[in-house]
Amino acid sequence: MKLITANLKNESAKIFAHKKYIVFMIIEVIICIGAVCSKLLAARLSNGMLTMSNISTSITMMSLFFEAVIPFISIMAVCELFSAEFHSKTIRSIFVRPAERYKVYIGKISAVLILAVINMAVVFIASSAADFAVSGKVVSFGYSLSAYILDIIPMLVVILMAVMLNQIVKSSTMAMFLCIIVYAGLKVMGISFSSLSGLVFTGYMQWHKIWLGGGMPYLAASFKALLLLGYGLTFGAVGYYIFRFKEC
Amino acid sequence: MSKTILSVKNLKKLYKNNRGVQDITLSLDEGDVVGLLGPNGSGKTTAMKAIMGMTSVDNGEIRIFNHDIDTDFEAAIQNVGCLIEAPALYENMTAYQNLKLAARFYPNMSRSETHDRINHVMRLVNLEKYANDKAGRFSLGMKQRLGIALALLSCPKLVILDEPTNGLDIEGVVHIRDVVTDMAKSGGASFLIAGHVASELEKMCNKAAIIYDGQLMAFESMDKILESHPSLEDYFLETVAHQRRHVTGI
Repeated sequence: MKLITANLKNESAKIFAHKKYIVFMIIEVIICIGAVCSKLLAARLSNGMLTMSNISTSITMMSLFFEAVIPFISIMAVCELFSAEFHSKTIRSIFVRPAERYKVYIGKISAVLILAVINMAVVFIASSAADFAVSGKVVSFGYSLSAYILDIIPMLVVILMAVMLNQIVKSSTMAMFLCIIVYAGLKVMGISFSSLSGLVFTGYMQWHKIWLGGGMPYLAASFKALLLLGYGLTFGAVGYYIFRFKEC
Repeated sequence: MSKTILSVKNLKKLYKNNRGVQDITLSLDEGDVVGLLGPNGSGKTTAMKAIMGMTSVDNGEIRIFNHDIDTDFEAAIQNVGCLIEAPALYENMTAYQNLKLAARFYPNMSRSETHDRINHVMRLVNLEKYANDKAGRFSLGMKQRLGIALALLSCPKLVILDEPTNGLDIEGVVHIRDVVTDMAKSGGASFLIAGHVASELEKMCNKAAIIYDGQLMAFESMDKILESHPSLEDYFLETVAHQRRHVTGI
């Protein structure tokens, strides 16, 4: 466990040594503030005809951030910690240390997941704080918090998919390109072919709607949970198998 | 009787292009400084990568401190430091940060011990002034020194260095040679050093292994080599010429 923690600290240090991840968070805060301001502006311009004070900004922000921005940031971090390290051969600095490869693998994935969770937290806090500053209340705080926590799981599946794809290609640019194409392709496929939409994991990026909606469909929710578990285990296992024997 | 630290038996690793190493058998005892001498492309780096578990092997057994590298990796590698090919550095991080990343893999070192140890190895390779400079701004020689510092960070009992004086100036070469000799004599560390400059290895090592075309041609103590030959270079040339005659039949 000590070595997994050590590796997690190292990988997090490497991620945050890149200033772009801090810049992304600043941009997220700006977008959240901008969304609340536009809500306010719409209400003013329509003389109160359009009122959105009962809509939680943190929930409306989820479509943009959970479907596109945070998966993109996570994919970028995965490419930096996996294919870019193999490409630049800096992975050797880890492989010559007394840590089994599975510990290295878990440490890297955990670091990316933590980055995704931090980004989610930034969006949640920024949008809730902006809501509170403007209207003096935070609408559906408990619902929003539960939704953000639940949506960590599909985000982990996306990370595991990106990790697996990163083991296949050598160049980090190629890996980034491939991950985005596959992610976007699956999204489009899920939208275009309704028969497939229930089977593609990218359709569950906001799966909190299943869990937190009115009337809990236990069977359907359990099926989706098992589906995500299956995807996660497959991506994680295939990715690890290739990573375990990869030469550097 | 001295303790065997590294034992390699019948190591075979061939790449798709049929290059690599085969039938490598050698052992390294406590306090030994073994020079692995061979021309470029002879298989020195492949052998070292296999010893460190960085590449899978086709055949053979590698044991470090009596632990199998394949089945007991962490225990085998716990007291080993290495620099193979170019130093693996995070160029957007400082020299100190690079060393700190490596130090985290040794949880037995306390925070203050880690700090002291990092400063010690930085001094050892004459980089203490540049601790807070980003590794990406370092010259080739400075990167090499930092690579050596990374290899020595954990007070290893076995150090594997692949052409450690690459990119170093004359003073740097002499300095690294002194560091190796001191550590072997006073610290009891053992070294496996690969290189293609015979004169350099002759000054540092007490044993020499000649590797040519992926095969181990000879493994002899330096004293014995110098008893019968004027220099390691002559010994190498004779061994290689003998092998060529054997292969071509001329």
